[in-house]
Amino acid sequence: MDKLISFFYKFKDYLTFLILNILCLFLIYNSDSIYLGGFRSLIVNYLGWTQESFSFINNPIILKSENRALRDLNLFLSNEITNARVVQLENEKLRELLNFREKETKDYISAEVVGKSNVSLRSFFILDKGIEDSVKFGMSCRTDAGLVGVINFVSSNYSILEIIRNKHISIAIKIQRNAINGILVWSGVDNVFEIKNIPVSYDVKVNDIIITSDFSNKYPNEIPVGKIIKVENINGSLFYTIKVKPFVDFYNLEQLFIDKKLPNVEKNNIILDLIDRINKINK
Amino acid sequence: MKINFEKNDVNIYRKYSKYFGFGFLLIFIHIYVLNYIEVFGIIPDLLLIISILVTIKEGRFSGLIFSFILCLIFDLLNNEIYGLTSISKLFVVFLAGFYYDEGKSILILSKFKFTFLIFIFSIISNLVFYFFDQRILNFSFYNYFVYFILGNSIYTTLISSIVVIYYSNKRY
Repeated sequence: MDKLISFFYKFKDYLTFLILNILCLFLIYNSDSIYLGGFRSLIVNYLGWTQESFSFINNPIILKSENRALRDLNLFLSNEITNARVVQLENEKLRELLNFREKETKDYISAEVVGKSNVSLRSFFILDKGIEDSVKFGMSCRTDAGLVGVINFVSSNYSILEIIRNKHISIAIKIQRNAINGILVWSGVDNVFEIKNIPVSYDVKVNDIIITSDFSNKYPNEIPVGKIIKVENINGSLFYTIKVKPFVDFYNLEQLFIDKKLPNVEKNNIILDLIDRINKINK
Repeated sequence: MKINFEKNDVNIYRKYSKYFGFGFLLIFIHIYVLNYIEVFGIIPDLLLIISILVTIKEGRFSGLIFSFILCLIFDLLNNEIYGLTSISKLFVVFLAGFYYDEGKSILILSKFKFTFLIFIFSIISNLVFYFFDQRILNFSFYNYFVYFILGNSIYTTLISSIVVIYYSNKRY
């Protein structure tokens, strides 16, 4: 027994070191034990309470970096506010423009296509609006996609729309991109129109948008008509043969808008007078 | 004889009460105050300093018991993995025990040899900590060594110079 005690006393450092290491390893690998979980939560509560008590003391180093970050954020937000103000002004201007356009929609009469007819190879649509709905002869019709035609005859409750997909109809148009003017006619085949009088030296490309030009008195200007699908120069001609696909689907058209604006009468009359005079001279 | 024995007991109780009292103060400073003097997230290891100090003054056996209890209390109060800090200090306390010389501790504590020992022991302690702490697996060892281990060791060494200055004044 004495020998045992003297042995332990002689190697007490090593034995203590070994025992304490084993104890530490045991604690490490059982640290997430359920039995310690409750104690741990107590400690966390205590720590949270005490650290909250000391939270009024500011760390100057952290404050310095926080100040720097806040200054950067402040600058960023200031720039954002400036941009937002610019955008807001732009928004107000655009809203004004939209209001102007909304006024324009009040000059439109919505109508439905109730019938279709062909008279002497000319195609007409019958609309459900007439004189009683303020529809008049010469008013143009369109959809949100583009130009449809012009009112040719009006009765009390109905009107007849002559669509642009007619052989004798010519429309003064221009290419939206570069304002090159031309005359659009129906090719007579399916849903394809043609522009024939644009010289080959002009800049015309596929996918160019075609709109009505200012030169037309029959149709309002700036109304979309179609898109160029083909540009060709046949037999070395001086003019392009340009194929245009209209935006409006005439086969499935059911609803449209009638523009209340009428063509300029004086402008029409002066053209008619000129035509009369020329005819008389020729006779 | 009996009186001397009782007197010695009182002295021992007082001595270790002072050590533990100072240890608890250091734990308090470690948890609540050191955050304000951190450098790039590095704080000095005050418990290592006091563990080595007690070992050099009182011997390996006392140092082992003292550091184990103190570091266990620290783990409990700091919500660390229980036993992790203790095991990292036990290794260095064992090694520091070789420098114990009864009655001659002030010769080591008053010289900058002590700070050098602290630097070496700090590296060893952090390596043991890294080995046992499974939460550090996401860090590459190189980054952890350069940033945490070396940084912590240097900072701890700087703080330990306070001990050297105190004991060198006491010596003279």
